[in-house]
Amino acid sequence: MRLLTHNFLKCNEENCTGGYPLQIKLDDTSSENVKILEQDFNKEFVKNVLSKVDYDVLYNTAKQFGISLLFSYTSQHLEDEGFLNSIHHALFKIHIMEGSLICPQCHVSFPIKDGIPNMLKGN
Amino acid sequence: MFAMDSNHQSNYKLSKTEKKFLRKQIKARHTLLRHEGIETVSYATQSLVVANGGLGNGVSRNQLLPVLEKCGLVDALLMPPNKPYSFARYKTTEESKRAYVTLNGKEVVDDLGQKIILYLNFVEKAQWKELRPQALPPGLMVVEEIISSEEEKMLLESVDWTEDTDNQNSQKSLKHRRVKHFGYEFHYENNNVDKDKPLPGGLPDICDSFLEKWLREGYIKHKPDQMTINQYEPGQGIPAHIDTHSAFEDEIVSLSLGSEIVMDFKHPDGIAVPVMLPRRSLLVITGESRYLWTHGITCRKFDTVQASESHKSGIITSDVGDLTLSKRGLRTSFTFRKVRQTPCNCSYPLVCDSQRKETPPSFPESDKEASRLEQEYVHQVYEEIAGHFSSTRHTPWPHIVEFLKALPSGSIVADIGCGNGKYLGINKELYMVGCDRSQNLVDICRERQFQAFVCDALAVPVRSGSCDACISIAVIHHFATAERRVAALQEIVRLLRPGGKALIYVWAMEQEYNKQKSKYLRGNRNSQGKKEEMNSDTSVQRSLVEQMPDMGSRDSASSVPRINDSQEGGCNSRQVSNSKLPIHVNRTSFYSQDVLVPWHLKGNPDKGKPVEPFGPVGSQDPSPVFHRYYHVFREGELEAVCRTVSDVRILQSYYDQGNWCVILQKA
Repeated sequence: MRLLTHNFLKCNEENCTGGYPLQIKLDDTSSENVKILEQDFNKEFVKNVLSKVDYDVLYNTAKQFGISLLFSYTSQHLEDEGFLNSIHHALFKIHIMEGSLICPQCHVSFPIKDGIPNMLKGN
Repeated sequence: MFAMDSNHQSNYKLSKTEKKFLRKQIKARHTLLRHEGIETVSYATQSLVVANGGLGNGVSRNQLLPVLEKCGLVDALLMPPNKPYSFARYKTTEESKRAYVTLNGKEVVDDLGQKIILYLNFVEKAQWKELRPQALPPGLMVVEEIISSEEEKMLLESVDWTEDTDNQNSQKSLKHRRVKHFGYEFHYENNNVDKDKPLPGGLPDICDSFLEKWLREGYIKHKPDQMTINQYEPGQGIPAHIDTHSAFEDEIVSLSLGSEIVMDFKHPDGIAVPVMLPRRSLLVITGESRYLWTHGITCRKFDTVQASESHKSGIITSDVGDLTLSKRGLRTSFTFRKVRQTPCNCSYPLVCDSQRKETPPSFPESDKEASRLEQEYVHQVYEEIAGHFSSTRHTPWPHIVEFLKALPSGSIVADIGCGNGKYLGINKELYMVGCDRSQNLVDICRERQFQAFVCDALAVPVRSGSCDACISIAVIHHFATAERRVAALQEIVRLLRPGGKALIYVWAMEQEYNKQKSKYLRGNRNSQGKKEEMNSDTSVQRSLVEQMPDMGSRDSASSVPRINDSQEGGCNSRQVSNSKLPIHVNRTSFYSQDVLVPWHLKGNPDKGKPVEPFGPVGSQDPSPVFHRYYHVFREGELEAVCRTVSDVRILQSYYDQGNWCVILQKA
């Protein structure tokens, strides 16, 4: 699961409001709970996608994985390859492999196995 | 960085062949990364990945190792099963560099005698993570050398295959395994025996002495009264199945003659255990291995076996440093069973035909009933058929591709009910995420390196208004009430941002439209036969770099001609409460909107593998049948459902190959 995907996921339990963003908890018993995989950099693609993410959530989540993004950005930054590369790295290259997603509101936990979250209710 | 030939005056300009080779090498690198998550490095290390040199594309250990050893001392050769690549680790970097230079572009010959070109790239480490249980399915044992070579010869010669000339002809042309029954006739239509009609003659006399001996020595506890002889030519197999509980008692034993083979056992949780059955061995399955695990033989000509001591029975090692291919020979099995005279009362009721609810499903009258119906006749079925289903879903439909390709770069797109991820990679300019109710289908998406998760389409865990577009292809028709179908559509609309578009496809009741029959109706036995020709022995994934040819477009909702479909339930022309759901006859028009559509499971249901043929029809074909629930839509019905959802506008509405389709836009 990429951080970009995580940016869109929310809790789907009935009557749970405000279950976003889901907290990522890594599985400590797994030797490879996070993977960094290469992805071709496409400047326009990154810019377009960036405009759709919740940037605060991205910033905080990236921090959890040791990535320090700019706290906020302006239109000037969108032409800065360094900035775009850091966004590209955070959004596309980090893959959460083993762990769980926890709702901050109702505390239900959804497992992530081999990069795949299982978000069936009542799981 | 490499030398193709000695003509090195072209230091700054590569020849055409060199350019072509370089392209292929880069393609291999990309494929390894994209599809297998293997990262290559541009500096020399001791380890190499050898693309196109794998067990999965027909290259065996004893073919590859000598080639590699010409360049130096090979520390380890890891050949993961079913993969079209291997990893080689040399003692020194010097030696691996030599291999990289000399072996890149080298031609070798695969198991079918076809030429293959190897592409080598450096990797940081030669390693393979393999999770395999080390225990045999409970209740299973293999007794080696239970008969002598002379006895084996005698038994094989005693089988008279010439008796049944009808079967002979049909079986020869269909390349189908041969079977003979003794004691009781086994019927493949319902996978059961006719207990009231025992066959005259009982079991052959020569079997008596063996059975007595095995009883005395405690290998078996009961004297069998039914025997089935199966003969498998290399390339033939039998689909995964559980022997019908109500037909036979607990103990089932099978004698392997003529050739060893690997039999695959699978637990409902998904654990798969390959078991080697050597020649002249007796396989005994009881308890859990008989009642709960499925067993089957993949249609292929080579098995992946242990390289050292390859004839040892039991679980095939998971050590990829010790695997190779073993060519199959003609194998005959004598399977002995005891017919049950009372209903089965095993401890595995969920898979027991005696204990499961026998009443056929009826049209649901409440949301709860609908949910239960969907659980049994949609969700559970897709989990069982995922692999086979995926293999019949490979050609993207043009209108859907068109829709996706028209979306602007950077669009966030959700595929609700993505199945095997067929559409997730169509347009690289989009960020597509798929979700499906079936874990097994989502696993196939994961294997293809797509972003996907498991969820119910009625509760999609995605923030509202966050998607630029959604697609939902052949999904909503699986919901059993109008309310639930509307709710599914509402979820899709909720995900869209204002102005966002969704493409919805559902199966149409009208399979003939504008005097044109849909592909579903037109598809016939002949085209199925043709596909099988191409498919024979493609259980092995071929080369990494040269992709497999497309299997043709057999893509309508269901795949195969029927085998003696049960006609019960009849044809209701309109739905009436409390009526039983009719079982649809494949490749015919729909007479009812709410139906159960049969799916004939073919091939070993391993995920992602191409389908293997078993010969289309005939009473000898024991393929399990699953029923999937559908509500097929009438003309205008999908539009009407869309109109009940607020804030949507229908942009386009059309008919496409037996489906009603709508493109809608959120206000």
